[in-house]
Amino acid sequence: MTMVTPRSRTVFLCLGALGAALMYAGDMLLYWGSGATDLSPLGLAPAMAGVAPERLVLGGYAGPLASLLYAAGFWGIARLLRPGRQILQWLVFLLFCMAMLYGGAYHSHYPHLAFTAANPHTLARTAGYIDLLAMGASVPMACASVLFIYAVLRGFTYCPRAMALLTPLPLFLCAAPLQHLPEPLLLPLAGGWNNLLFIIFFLACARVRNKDGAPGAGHGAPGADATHEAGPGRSLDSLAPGGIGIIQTVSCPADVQERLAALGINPGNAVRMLRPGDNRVVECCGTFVALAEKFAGRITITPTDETL
Amino acid sequence: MISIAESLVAVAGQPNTGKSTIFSALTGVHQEVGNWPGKTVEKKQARAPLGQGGYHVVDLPGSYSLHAHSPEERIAVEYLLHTAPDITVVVASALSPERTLAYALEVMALERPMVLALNMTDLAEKNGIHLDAKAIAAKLGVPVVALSAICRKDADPLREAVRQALHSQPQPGRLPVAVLQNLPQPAAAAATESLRQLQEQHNLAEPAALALIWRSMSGEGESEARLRELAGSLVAPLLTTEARQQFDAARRDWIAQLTGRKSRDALTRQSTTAVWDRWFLHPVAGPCIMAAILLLALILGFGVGFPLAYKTGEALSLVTPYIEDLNSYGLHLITAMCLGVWRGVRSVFAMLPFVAVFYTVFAILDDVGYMARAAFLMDRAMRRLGLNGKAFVPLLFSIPCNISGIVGCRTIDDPRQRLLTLLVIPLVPCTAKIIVMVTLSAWLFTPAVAILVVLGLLTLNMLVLAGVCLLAGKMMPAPVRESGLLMELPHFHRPNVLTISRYVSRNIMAFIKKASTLIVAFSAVLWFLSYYPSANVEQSLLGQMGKMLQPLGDLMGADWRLLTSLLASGVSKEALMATLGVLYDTGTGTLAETLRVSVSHASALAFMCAQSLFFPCIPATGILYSEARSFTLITAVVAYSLILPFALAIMIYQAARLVS
Repeated sequence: MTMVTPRSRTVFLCLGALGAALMYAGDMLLYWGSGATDLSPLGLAPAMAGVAPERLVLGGYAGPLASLLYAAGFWGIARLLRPGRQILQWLVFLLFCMAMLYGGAYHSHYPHLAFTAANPHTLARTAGYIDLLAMGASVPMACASVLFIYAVLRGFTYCPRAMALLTPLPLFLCAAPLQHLPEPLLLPLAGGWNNLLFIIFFLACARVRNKDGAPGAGHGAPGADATHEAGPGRSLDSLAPGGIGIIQTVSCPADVQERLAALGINPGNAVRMLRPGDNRVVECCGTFVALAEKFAGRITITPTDETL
Repeated sequence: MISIAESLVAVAGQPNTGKSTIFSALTGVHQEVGNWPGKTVEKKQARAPLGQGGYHVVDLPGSYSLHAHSPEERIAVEYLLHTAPDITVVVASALSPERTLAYALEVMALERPMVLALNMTDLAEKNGIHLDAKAIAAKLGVPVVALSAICRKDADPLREAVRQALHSQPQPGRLPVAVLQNLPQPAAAAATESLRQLQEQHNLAEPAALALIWRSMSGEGESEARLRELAGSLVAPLLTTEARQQFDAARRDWIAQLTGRKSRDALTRQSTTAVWDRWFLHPVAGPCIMAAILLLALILGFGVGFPLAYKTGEALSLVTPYIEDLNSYGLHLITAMCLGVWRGVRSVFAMLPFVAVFYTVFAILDDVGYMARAAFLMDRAMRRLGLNGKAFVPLLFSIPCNISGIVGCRTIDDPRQRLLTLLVIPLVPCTAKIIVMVTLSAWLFTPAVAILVVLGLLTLNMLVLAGVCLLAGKMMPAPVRESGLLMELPHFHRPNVLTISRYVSRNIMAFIKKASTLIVAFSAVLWFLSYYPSANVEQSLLGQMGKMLQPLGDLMGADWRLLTSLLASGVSKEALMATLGVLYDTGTGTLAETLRVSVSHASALAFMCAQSLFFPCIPATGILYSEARSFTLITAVVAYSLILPFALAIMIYQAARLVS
């Protein structure tokens, strides 16, 4: 994964919120006519049949674009995970993306409901297919949400634990009471809830800062950017991939320290972070050294402005 | 003065600097060469060609410093400290000159005559590192040869430098006194004063006094007690942590001046290795690539090696009629004996292509520098078993032959981890076990089922390995020191055909040697036991011994012949097929047909499970003991490799019977 600073993470999360807003707008402004109270695909078809075809096509077209923006947002979500959790990070990202690929397809197929509304047999088959796409979106979304909640509760992310309540799964459960809202609130809130909850999720995540509040100081987070911050005595972990620092102190057990010294990891030498994670890989004096997290955490460096 | 032919030249250096290649270049002996730290795990000796003087050359295992952390390092360090070779060829890597030259200075401080080989200059040039060998030689006062040892021509100047150094009166190099002068005060004053007093009070010449101070300040070589014994209280002010840190900094600055680059300059451009590592060490792509590589190795092993092995077996069968022809000369006993021995030897030689394919794949991975990456990637999984990533490479090298893996454990510096790895290596199915597994399943099951059976058995092996590892980890005393991954990842380089072919041929020759000695002897004994007293296998000594085990065989569905073959595999895994060949030789059909008729699927499954987990072969057990020097470990290996196979085989057989 390439380096992402908290600022760019925020940008990604805002793009995700924009994607959710775009899909919401597609639903509300382009698809729906008035008077629908049954929010299932079959129930919405009669109301959509009265909408101009151009509006429907435009609404459907917005689906894939919104999915792309959503994916950018999920990238930002994945970067909320601390370093050393790369597999979890990728799982969360890929599952969310997979869900939203189906989500985009689901959204894009809604115009067919209007086009086939006149033929009950075709309409039923179209609605069945759209329901299947919804299933394709829901299952990975639920899995990704569960994984993200697990990560939040176990402290694998920069989020406070309460953030677990603002993740898609708990927010999705709020849809049930919204179904009882009266018109005209029903359609914009209950009908658009699946997108609204993501706007809430992305914006809540965008407010999260790395633990010490300083951009890029997140224990060597891939989402950190220590290379632009100069300060004495920072942990080697705080170096982002490609970041260069000058070793200040090495305080490991004697045998480890001797080995590190023989490999060039000595105070005064420059070191570059090549791979963060539970085991780090650094480059020093033309040597690539793999070292465990616990040893890397005991090496302090002075970050430089250089990066490669 | 001793003649050059009696001189001793030691090749030393940090791991992965190319010592073995230089040893091969000096001697012409094909030393095993690899691109992962710790390839040479014992010192090896050979003589240089007579034309170059015929001197003795010792190839030492790599050591990162003069403090030993692992058994292989201990061999090198003890040799350097307690033996005085006429010349020490210190191999430094031009790719990482800072640390390898620091090592060279430590060896120089032992006051040994030295030739410095600056290896891998071709790769260094590609990475923008330009070192001036003449300037380094002038500063250090020793011959310095810049070379790329894998190019044959490049080795000529080194051979010449060693020869000249042996002809002249070899002198130790000049330690740079400037390092002491550049120390901050008061360390500089203390060092200068100690230098003066050592010369005056102990009548030491300046180089000897400087070497003693150097060893005191670097903390390498002798212990502090020994240093105090040598120099009294004169070096006491130099033994503090602060003084040593200042010395390290001064030495680093001096080397930076010598090489013309600072450690920061070394990071100004990205090496090819770093670019490749983006993919090979990627948290997601890395394991996928590794899985693909290992899968490819298996596909090559089975897809190429197995048909080749089959063809080899067929080709070797062509000899059988000629042996049978001996009957026509009335040599019945000799014919029977030769046939018995030939069957055993043929079954072993037929495995050769299979083994060769595995060795070739591993040699390529090793040579390009991938093995250390595999160890890195596997660290997380290995930690769950109580091991670390370093244990992965010996475990992987156990696949061609367990002996390679057992010897490779010397690279693991943590004694507890080393013992744990040694304990479970016999559970890694070696090629001989895999061949038996694949051959029997191909004979006894349909192709689709055979694949599932082999995969199932391999999975079972891995599960048992994990279980034994976890259980043993809990039973062993807790680790006394903090353990964690710390290893060098070598630079990637293109595969060298010569190195790979040497590695493969060396291992194949070892295999042939084993086949032509141990297996021939075993086949002869086996033939004798199966022939006497009445030339009838069932009534022979072997048959009678096997029948004694029948009660155990009944539980796992194996008749006496299968059980006898299983026990024979304790001598050598390849002996199993040889024994089956002898015991099932009905004279009417092939072994495959005979087995298909006489062994049920449930029995076959149970038997294959037992053989895959059974006792390691005798050579492997011997080497296991010599490496571990632990009677407890050997007892544990014998215990689990006798109890587990039979227990699991009985369970599998009974379960299979219930299901069917």
